[in-house]
Amino acid sequence: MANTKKSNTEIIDEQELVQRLKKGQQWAFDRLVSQYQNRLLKIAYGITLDHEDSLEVVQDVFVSVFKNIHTFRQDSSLATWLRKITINHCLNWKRKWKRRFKWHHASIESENDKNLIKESQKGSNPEMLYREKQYEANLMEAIKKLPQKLRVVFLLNTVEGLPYDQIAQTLDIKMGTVSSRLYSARKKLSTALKLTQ
Amino acid sequence: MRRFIKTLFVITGLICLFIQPVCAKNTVLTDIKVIHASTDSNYVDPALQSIISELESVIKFTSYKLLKAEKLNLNFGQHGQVSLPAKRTLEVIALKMKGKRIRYQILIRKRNRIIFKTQVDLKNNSSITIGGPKYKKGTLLFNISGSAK
Amino acid sequence: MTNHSCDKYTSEEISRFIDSELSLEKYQALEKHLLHCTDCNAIVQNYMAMSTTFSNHTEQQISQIDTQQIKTHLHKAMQKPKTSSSHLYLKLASFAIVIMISLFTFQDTIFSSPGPSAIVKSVDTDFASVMIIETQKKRHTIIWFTET
Repeated sequence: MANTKKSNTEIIDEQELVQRLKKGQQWAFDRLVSQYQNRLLKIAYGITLDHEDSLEVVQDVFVSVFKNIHTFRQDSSLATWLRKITINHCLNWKRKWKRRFKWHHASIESENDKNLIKESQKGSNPEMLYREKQYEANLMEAIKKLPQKLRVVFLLNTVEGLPYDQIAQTLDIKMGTVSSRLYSARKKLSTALKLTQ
Repeated sequence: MRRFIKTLFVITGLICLFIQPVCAKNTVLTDIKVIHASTDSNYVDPALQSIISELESVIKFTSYKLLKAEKLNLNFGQHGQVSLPAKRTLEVIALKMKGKRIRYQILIRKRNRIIFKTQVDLKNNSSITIGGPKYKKGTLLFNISGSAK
Repeated sequence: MTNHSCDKYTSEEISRFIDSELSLEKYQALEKHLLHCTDCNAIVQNYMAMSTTFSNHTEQQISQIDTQQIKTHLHKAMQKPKTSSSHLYLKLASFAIVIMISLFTFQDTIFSSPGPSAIVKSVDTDFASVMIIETQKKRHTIIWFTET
């Protein structure tokens, strides 16, 4: 009985977490969410490039994981499985047009510019901060325009910090393809940012 | 028996399909709603609930106020006009029936100058939303629905 | 924008270098080369800055998800009753009745042409930005223009 009332801070191994999830224990679910939500949110944001969409995707992922945990055979780690599900959910997110619209909408309001100005007024070296923010804004604009295939590989490399073999395994592609997609992504971004490539 | 029910189904469907073109439509009831959308509050006008629940999937505002709602009973070719805020007017003309759709011409004028003109084939008993003009820290939306009688 | 002019290493190799995906021998050679090649160094800096900025940006954008909302979703999903075969027939029968009634009552809306609520034939405006959007659920047409 004492076993079921674990505190959320206690360290348990992945296998036990999966077993408890399979038994439908609420505690295990809370644990799963608190442990993995940040990682999955970053992945989802990196693909959808939209704050609200990423929240929705990850919520869906957790619901689907809890419903389908019995299908998880533990051939790979839980993190890998969750990552794959999140990427698939993002890629199937059939609201590309909606996102495009929101981007457009944001540019109409030019909120980014307003934020930039506000931020630059706050910092001690406004010029520097402005340049950094401008670089970030330009980079994100360029990332939005990257083909999705390239963006996913770039995301897994930068945000998840995965080596090529793990990216290849996650996306079911060859390691050579990972390398060329990453290079291609960097080259396209450099072109967009007018940098040495 | 099963075959009989199947046939009955098909016949009913066919009858319904062919009845409609026989009944010619003469007038078009056009309902125009002028909405002010903004992010000022979280208020959604109760009269707009059904439209907004659909629009919300694409338009990210939080407050929707109904500024004006007008019902125009138009004959084909007849002009209908609604005045809008900021010296604008919205003009609709139901041109003709195009199959099961109503062909509308919609104009927005600003101080008598046409700033927007569109021609749409609106599904009968359905609506279209036109949006974009900035107004009082928000945006104006026009929901136009048409029903041929 | 300047192109990579050093012919000793390609930018693809540099891309693999910053990911530590070169063979150890090549990695060490390139590391040495970077000590004096400003051209290759610039690419390394650019590629790394892009990764760091994107990663930091993503980090800043995330917030916590609403666990309660997930639980509600789950609860609903778990409570969906299973349909037995007799229920299925009953559902089919009622569905048929609904269709029959709808045929008579809403012939316009059901049999009116499928597709978007409005087909936009033409748009004439001075404005630079006009978008035609369709909602997912009911395919409601929206024309969005921006006054310049």
